[in-house]
Amino acid sequence: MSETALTEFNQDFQWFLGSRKELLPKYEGRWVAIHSRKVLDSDKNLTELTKRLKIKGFKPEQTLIQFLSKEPIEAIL
Amino acid sequence: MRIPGYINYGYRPPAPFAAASILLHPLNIKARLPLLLDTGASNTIILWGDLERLSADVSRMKPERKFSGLGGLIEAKPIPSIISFRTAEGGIVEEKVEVYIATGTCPHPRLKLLPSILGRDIINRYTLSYSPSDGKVYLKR
Repeated sequence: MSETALTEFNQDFQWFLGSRKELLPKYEGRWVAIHSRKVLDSDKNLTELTKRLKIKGFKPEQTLIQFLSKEPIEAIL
Repeated sequence: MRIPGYINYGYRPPAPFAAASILLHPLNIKARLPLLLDTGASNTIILWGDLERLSADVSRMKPERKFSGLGGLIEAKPIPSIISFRTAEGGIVEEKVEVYIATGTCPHPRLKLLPSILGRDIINRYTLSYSPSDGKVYLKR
């Protein structure tokens, strides 16, 4: 894993966390794929989203994919 | 050396995360994923949502360990792995660890929303500094 790739992934995650409010109206209830601080694609179904990403030439395992819910997630693990 | 973390306000209460890359040797998978910093978890584990994203075929994996949680038992298999983090100083730090993979099918669709977890097997190698009120979280050593 190159330093650049990991830095970009950190930047994507930071961007997602900071953009949550702006993204919610459009993507609520959807899985969102993010690359280079942009939304690549989204879907209510994670399997469908990963399939489409592969077709587009992206590697889902190396792409930030997060679920956007209006209500914050509550969990006790 | 410091590993910066991030506070995720998509959780209630907000939760501390770190961005990492993981090389799962036997599966030949290189993945990038956010990990929940969970001092309540004994081990680092990749859960169902991320496993789907990683296209990891866990159907033929034999579980070797059962973890207790509030939701019951989770069967998991340890995978020799290297976890990498970006440091605040500009560089990468690598940690060798056996990452656990949840081997059973996801018990409920909502559980796919659960993040993968960075457990005490890694956290205990560092000092965890966490101040949600200041919006700061990092691992240091």
